[in-house]
Amino acid sequence: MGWATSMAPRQVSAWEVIGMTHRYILAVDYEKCTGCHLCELACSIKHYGVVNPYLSRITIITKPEIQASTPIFCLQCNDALCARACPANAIYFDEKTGAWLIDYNKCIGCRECVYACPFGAISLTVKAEPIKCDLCGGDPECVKVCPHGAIFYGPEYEVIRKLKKGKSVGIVYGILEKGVEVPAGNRVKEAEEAVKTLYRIWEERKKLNI
Amino acid sequence: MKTVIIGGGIAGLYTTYYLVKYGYEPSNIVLVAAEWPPYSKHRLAEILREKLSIDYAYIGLYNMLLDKGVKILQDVATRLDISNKTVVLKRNGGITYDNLVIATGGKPFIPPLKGTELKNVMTFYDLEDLKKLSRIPRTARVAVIGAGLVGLSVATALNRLGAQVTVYELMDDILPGVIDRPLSTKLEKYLVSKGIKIRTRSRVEEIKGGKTAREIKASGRIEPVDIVVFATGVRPNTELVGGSGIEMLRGAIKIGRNGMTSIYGIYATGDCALSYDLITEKEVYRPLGFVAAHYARIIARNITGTRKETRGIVPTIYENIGGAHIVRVGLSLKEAESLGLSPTIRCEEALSYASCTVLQDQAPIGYEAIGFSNRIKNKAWQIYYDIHTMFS
Amino acid sequence: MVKHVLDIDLEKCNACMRCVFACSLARSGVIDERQAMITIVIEKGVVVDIAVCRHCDPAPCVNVCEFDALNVENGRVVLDQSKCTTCKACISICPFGAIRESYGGELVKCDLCGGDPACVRVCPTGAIRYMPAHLVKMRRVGGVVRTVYEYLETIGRG
Repeated sequence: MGWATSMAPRQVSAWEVIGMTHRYILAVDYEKCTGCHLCELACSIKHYGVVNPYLSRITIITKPEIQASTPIFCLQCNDALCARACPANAIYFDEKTGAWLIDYNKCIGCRECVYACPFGAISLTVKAEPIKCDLCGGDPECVKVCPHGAIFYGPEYEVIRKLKKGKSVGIVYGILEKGVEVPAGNRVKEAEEAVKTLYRIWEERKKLNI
Repeated sequence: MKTVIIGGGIAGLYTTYYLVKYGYEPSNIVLVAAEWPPYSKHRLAEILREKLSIDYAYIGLYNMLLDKGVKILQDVATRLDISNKTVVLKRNGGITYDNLVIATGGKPFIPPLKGTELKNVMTFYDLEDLKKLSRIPRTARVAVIGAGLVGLSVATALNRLGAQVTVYELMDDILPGVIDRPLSTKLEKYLVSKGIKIRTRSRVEEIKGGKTAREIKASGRIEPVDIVVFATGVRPNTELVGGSGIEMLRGAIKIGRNGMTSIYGIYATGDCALSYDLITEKEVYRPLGFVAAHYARIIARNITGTRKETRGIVPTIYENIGGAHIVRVGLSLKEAESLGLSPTIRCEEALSYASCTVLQDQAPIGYEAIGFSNRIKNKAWQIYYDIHTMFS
Repeated sequence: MVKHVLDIDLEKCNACMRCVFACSLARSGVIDERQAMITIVIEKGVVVDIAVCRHCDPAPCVNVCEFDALNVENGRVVLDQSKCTTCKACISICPFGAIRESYGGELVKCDLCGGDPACVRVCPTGAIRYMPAHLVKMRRVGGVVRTVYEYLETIGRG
């Protein structure tokens, strides 16, 4: 499963419909994330005024054995499966922020969106009410609070540049592959070399049998 | 304040229930019922098909009303004296009222044909009909006249029991007014594959025979028959109201948005009264259970002092016809046309499932679906919600 | 109070029908598909749906029931058989096909077995679980987490 690739087949995206050339995206440099869970707390404070990780729309899964953390967050897919699955048509695309939002007047709390999302990005509160990232209306709190600068928000090209700076070649490669932007020849070469390096490291690691 | 409810069917029963629920003193309610205990007509076909006991048809709610102290008279109302606020009963004489709820229900309609008085010509409407039909020989040849929901339910039930069933329908398609062309054709194919003969566009002209019916003549064709079942619809049972001054339309009692008739203090609900359609806001005659219960609640609210009005009803219909699931929400194409709209229909088909959306000016006003597997999942709620947000 | 919900994972279901039979046994003491409140929908050999009540709140069926037979109590949609007249409006409106007609026109719908669902007890693959609502998501993040860990491993972290 590619976490940065969109749902296939890619049809006309919601962004193309409204004529936006640069979509704003939220992305995470997984290498920089230390698993401090500050974004979770910020998210729950922003939306509910309380500190409760279960009311957060972003979730960090940490595996201490290998010192790795994975933020789970909504990728605001072009062709959102949650919106397709919703039997009440309650999930709609907000043109202003570029986020898929839940209309709570329509929502019947059936959890179909939770089951449909392949990334586990829709959470349920303790009252079984679905919550998902709304990009804080265009000003995500998690980005501001992250002490390591692991979460980026901005126009797509800018985010990609930042991710590249963070040497997250794989992620960058994933996004470029999506067909948003055709990569230049030398970039492809760079990326291919990077992947080769990755494989070499991986092979070496396997020998060590971690 | 005394409230008299005439009719012990679903409409009368639920008006009583809602009155008690909304805090009306139960001892001030008199329920006049010809048949008691009350039962649900929706269950008759299923009881026939599975050869179950008639006890399954009764609605358990009446015990609760008896416990609360509602007075129930097993009697028939014969006359209405509006100037003295009195209802004259057959056995118990006159009783006075402050509020009157007329819920006399409907009666099965039999078209005026030659031979309908014969011995084995019947309707499928109440418990007596059920008892009669459950005693017929296993391989009887049955003619069901009318391919509505009742007609097809009884046809599939009898087919399951082994009878040779032929369904006669005057219109072009089966289930007219419930579902439209592409779906009704599918259902017809399915029923034919089950062994039910279907004769659409055939007008039944005569039932022949001496004492008992032996042959049926429809559109010139004569076929032998053992039992004839009329399922040609329901008409309002409003003999009681006739000549009393209550405003009527096509034989049914006209009611306002609060369930009241043209005379103050007299309400009507159920198969004897008209109801409003939410989408067109027109008066329609829909002899359906939930329409009766909807107005029962509105009437109970008004009698207990909370003013309440309804804009109308969006019909929600489901029926299992011999294993085919039929779902209808809102208006069908034909019904919308008859109510003066100019709708279009958009259909889609999936594996063992087909559905149509009825649109008026690109806005959904109806949804109908048919499924043949054990899947009943559908999009009806979306359409129902859209209709409600748009029209109310 | 934490709401407990039935968590369904279609991919894990192998259509062994144990949940259906257990449900029917728990409800009426016999094994009979028509008495079960859970249905496995199979089309062309593929499990396309497990139809069981989601206990929605606000629930479409409660909204549409004119007979006061369906109500939400303690976060559960409860059917009162004594008030039901089998008008079947709820069956037509339910987006999941979770309410069904049983013998004699009696409607059957999931009541969560009073907090210890029989279907969950017998499911061998974990396709159906009964768990606190806020933990449902955790069963679904595995794919992403695994991918990211694999990636981090390949670049030499972890």
